[in-house]
Amino acid sequence: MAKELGDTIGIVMVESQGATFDEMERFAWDNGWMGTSAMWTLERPVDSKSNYLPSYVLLDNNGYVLSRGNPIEDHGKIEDMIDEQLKLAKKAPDDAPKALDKAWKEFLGGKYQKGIEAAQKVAEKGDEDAEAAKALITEFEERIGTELALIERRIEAGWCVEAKSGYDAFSRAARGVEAVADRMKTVEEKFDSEDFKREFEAEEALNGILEDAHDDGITKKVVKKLEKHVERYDGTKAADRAKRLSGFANE
Amino acid sequence: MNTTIVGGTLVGALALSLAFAQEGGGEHASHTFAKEPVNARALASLEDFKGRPVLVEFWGTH
Repeated sequence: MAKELGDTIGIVMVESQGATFDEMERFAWDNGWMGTSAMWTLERPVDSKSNYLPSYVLLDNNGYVLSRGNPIEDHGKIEDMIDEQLKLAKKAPDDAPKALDKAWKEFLGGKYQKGIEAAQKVAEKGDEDAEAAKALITEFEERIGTELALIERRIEAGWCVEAKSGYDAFSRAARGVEAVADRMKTVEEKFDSEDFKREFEAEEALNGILEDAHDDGITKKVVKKLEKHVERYDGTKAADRAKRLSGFANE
Repeated sequence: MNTTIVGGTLVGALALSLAFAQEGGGEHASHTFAKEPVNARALASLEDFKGRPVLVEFWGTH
């Protein structure tokens, strides 16, 4: 499912039998489960309300529990519910005032500033939808800020490839949004810095090495490449990751 | 043995299957990870997924 849907949904895999963090990661590599957008943790971000494994909890677009159960039995049901959520994500909420349809359409169509402007027009009319329009502007700005914050965190954490691709899409959508203009300028300056370019190159090189590992795990051949990567890109965050991964050799 | 689904693929042999699917009813999930998950790519909390559905799967290594 993670391979099919990529980043359009979040997938959180929770190891629930008392493994250590390293055991969990090694297990995932050895079984060829890495290489998707799924993330792996020992923490239970939501109660499964089940004593059995496997089990799942599906959250809707706003973090509310949609369903719990056995993921094997409910596989088709889960796919249907995810499809429904993905459709809903492209539409205004059912309870949104009709007057704000244009604002939602622009925003969800990736034109953030036009969405804000459409909501501002409704707010300026001062009629019964004005308060909802003001609240919507706040919500749009929060969403924009959250999206940019993730890009900023990715830059700091050395996830440069994703930061860059995420920013390319974000900057097209957020063009003209005054509330984040300064932050966007700072991000663009970072992209131009030598440190970022080195991190980016190191991460691209690491991603290339890990292509093989996604199918076969961390083999000795992969470890050799990881060790060379560590030498070449010493001091980068990608090299730190490469060093850690080389400890998961499966032969 | 357990069975789990990863990337849409059944892994393992025997499902501890019970018909225990429960529908949710207005329960909101909120969590910030104390330790960054593997492959989190700077995603730090469930809030970071806002606007997208989230599938949380509980599985085991044994």
